[in-house]
Amino acid sequence: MKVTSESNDFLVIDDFYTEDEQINIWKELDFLTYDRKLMPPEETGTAHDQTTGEALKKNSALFLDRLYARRELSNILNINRKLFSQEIIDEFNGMDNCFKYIHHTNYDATLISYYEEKDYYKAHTDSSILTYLYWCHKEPKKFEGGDLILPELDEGITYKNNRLVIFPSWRLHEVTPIKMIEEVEPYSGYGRYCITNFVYIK
Amino acid sequence: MQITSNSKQYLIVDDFFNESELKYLWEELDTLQSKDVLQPPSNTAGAKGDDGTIIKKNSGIFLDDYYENREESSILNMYDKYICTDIYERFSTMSPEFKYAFYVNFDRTLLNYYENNDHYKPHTDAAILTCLYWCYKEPKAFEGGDLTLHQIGEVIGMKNNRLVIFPSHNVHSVSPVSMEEVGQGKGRYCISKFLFVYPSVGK
Repeated sequence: MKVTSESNDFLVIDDFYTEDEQINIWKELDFLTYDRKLMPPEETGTAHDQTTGEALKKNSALFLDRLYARRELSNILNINRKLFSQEIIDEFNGMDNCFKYIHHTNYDATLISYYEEKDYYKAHTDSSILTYLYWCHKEPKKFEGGDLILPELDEGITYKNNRLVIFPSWRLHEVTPIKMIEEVEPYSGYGRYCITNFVYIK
Repeated sequence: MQITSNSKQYLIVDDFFNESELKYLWEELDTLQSKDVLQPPSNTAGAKGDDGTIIKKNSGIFLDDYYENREESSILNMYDKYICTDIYERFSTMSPEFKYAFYVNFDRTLLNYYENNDHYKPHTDAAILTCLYWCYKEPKAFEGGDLTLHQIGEVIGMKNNRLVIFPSHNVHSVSPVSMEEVGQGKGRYCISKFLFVYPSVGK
């Protein structure tokens, strides 16, 4: 686990989960990667274009908290408590003041998103305090794109396996379109996964 | 109503309520006092010190809990006046935490009353933005009750009909109030409004 960003506005942490943690995350992602589980944007609370009303994302997704009545039944909902470990909170020192809210945050929601050919998420903001994005894919990598752009900062954060990105939720962010470099069946599991945590004070 | 601060870290709005709003405000405050509804600190979810001790001394009540319907309270309704164009336009030029103001979907309102020796030691609030509205009965019968914002190193003087807004993670305290005529509603009122961005999913 290593911080690889220098900005005060966002944090990039590489090699976030251990080998064991990744194995258990993949067991659950494989179980979920079907069309009746990962659902279209209208069913997973997408941001909308304020003028046209059009959904800003094209991907498949699921709020894990809606699936499980008990957190301990989910590998991911347990393993991702690491997001709120002291080790990560310590990295917030010296960041923008919005990261200070971490000391009072007490609630979060976990969204699994899966991107295949031509999927994207146009520029939008989230209605939470902090947004955590964790990225992963199955090797060998069969897609290009899926990078994160922070338009106001004119910064791009390249998609990378096992990478965590944290920023204040009001910050505009977008995901560039995915291009599969090898033809795959829908829900092949060879696309881009993003596990998002929205963090709140409740 | 007039914004009188230049800082990017906090906002001061003076003459927040107009004459007729003030009339409703005082009717409600006097009614609440006459019903003796204000509670000691242990009942109003105050911030605690590192050792778990209560660090405020005043009396208060969450108006959201006291009223069954929000419509019953002039204060709860009038307070939403902070969502006006002038203040909103200013939010976008303030420090980044004020950006959350545009996502606020929940709030809690705490009425506090300070008399002799009452105070609130340095603390942060478990919210996104904190609004404090101050008022008292003229002629002023107390001294003290000023607000210190510790990280910024600034003191904001207690003033009648003043609203102060700042990010809740800022450490802040209220200096002790001193007065002689206690028990007559002549002390320092502070109506705190805590702003939240509430989740629709999650645990």
